[in-house]
Amino acid sequence: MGVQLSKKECIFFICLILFNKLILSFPSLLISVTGTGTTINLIYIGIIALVFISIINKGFKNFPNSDILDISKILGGKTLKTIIGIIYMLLFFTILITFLNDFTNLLKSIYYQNSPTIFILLFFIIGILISNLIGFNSIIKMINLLFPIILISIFISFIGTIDNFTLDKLTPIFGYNYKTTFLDGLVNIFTFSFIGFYYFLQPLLKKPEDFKKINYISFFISFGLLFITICSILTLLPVASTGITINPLYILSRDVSFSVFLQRLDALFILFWILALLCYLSSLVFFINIIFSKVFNVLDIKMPSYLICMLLLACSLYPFNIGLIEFLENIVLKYAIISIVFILGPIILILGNIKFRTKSRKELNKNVF
Amino acid sequence: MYFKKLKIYFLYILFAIILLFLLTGCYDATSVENLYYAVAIGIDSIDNSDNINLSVQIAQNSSSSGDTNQSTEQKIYKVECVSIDSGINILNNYLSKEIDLLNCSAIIFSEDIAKKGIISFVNTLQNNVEIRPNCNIIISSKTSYELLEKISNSGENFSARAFEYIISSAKFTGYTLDADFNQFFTNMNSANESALAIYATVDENSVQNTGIAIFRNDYMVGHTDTEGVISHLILENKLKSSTINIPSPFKEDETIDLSISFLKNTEIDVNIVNNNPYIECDIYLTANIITSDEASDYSSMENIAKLENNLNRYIENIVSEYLYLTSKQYSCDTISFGEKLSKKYKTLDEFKKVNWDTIYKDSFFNVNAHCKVLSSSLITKQ
Repeated sequence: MGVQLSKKECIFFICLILFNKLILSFPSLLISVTGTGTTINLIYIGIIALVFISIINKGFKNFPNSDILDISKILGGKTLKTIIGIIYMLLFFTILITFLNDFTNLLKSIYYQNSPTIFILLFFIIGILISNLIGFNSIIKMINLLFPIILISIFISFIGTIDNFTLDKLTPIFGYNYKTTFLDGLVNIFTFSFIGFYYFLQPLLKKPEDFKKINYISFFISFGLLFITICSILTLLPVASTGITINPLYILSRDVSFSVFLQRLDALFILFWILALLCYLSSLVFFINIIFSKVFNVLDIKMPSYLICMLLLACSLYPFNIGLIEFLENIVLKYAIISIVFILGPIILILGNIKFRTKSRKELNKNVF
Repeated sequence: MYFKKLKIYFLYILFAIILLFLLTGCYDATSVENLYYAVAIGIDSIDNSDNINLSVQIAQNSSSSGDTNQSTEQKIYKVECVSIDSGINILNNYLSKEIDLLNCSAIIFSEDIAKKGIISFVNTLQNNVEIRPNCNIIISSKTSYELLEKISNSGENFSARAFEYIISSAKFTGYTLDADFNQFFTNMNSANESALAIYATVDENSVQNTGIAIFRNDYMVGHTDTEGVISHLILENKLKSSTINIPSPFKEDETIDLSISFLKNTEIDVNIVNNNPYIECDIYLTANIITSDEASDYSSMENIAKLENNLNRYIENIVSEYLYLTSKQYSCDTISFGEKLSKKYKTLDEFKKVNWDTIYKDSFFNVNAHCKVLSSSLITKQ
């Protein structure tokens, strides 16, 4: 594949995935479930996500340099590998098409009200195609350059609006009630969908032994970013109004001003967000390419890019209205991520490990006798 | 070798062609010449009609460069329309340039229309990306068109910053609160807060910010005077400084001017006693004496104590008056006491049982002022 990611590059990449969720309507989705209890809920689901990460780390321990497709092959042969591959391809493609259309709609309503949507879509799709033809290394280098700027932009959003923060808005701390915060709020774990990429990360690493460290560090940084953003939104906007605004982070960034000298910084932030989303969508296509090549034995992993981009354009031509995007994000993606990333993935890892141990024991017994 | 050179030349030509496109500029870009920058928009109701009067105040480029690069000419266009956007469309239809709201500093509603409910206008404007979040909401005692006219005729150099200057006076007068559009929108949609706007009184010759317009949901229910604004800023810990006029402890029927600012933040404690809210406010201010007359001797500790006592009573009176006005008369929690009480409950379901919206009007307030008179500026004794 020719891709060898360093520890830093990998961490930046994972954090960028989460950032892309923040710039879309995901904070609203979280807050709509748990209200003011989102801060407690985040800590709660964060601990659960940590358990999943430790399962993934332990699951991959016996399979160095392998991804979930290799483990599926060991577990259930080529059939299971193909099924798992197709499921993940469909998941990544759904994320791809939902994010692309959601952000295109946002961009169109903010800046390009009179431009045809197809122009904005083509800007992204051509960008995705070119970056994938050049290679994943180019995307990673762009992420390396972009991520510190994005961190600064979130930090500026936080500092610039700090005067308007009201800590009282975070109360009652347990939200609507204990049931919504701890039981219904469990679905908020879908925010950590970047864990899905951990299943494919190991073969891409320069040093596969760093896998465990990368997972933990990237999780803690992403969690920090998510926590700060959610707290900022909650302390600035009442729970009721976060539900009626399309993008709370955009509303937050619109509010950033340093006296009368520096206002409307959102215009600058949007530019970085476009680049961040382009990197993320390109990465998604790259991962679909990897799965496609592995499942269907394609030698050149860049080739499926043409197919995926054409498919993406064809699907995007369907008019995605707000209702459809919300349905995809709030219902389809939410439950698809929970069932594929947090249920299917760990089951395959656990079963793969059981099979590996049974096989190892049999081989050991053979050698003894 | 020959082909390699040819390839390089070809790349140079390709690069030059790409650069040529950059030189063409943006042929369809909109610039200052194509736009009219609205400085303020005003919305008025029309008697016996569902239509509104939309007034747009536009700053035009000054012909002379002068000593400032700010615009000094302005025009007000007024149109009868069904909604804000349709009004702007009508104006765009007969004006030579497109109206742009990016520099809009104030949105003015007449008191009449504010009392009928303005949520549809506020939500529509929030949906417009051109409107700045720090654009101010002003409620005019007469029509918004009259307010815009009075501001235009004030004799001041008119510019896009005219309204910003009016609002920025809050820092040294304490007579105006910073009622930005974003805050207004979020408070209007909040269950625990009341939306507040600047209340401007329009008289024959001038316009003055004279208080706070108070909203319950999206309906304006009343307004306060300037003392109400000072009280509100004290309770919200947003007062920078203000000059107040208190009864003199030394001479009957005379007053003393004091400049007040915060010593430390106001402490608020909200409790439920016998199903009624009991709210304690402890206010800590410092004051500097401005008035100096022949009877005053500010070097005496006794006199300073008398002055502090009068100041405490004055502050307690104006703050209590403001709180009882907003709670008893308007039933509006303008200080978000509800949010402060919600801290004492673990879940929203538990807090809902308190029925804050219903019981707030039965609140009891205990306001205690702890003011310190520190200095009398240059003169201590006559």
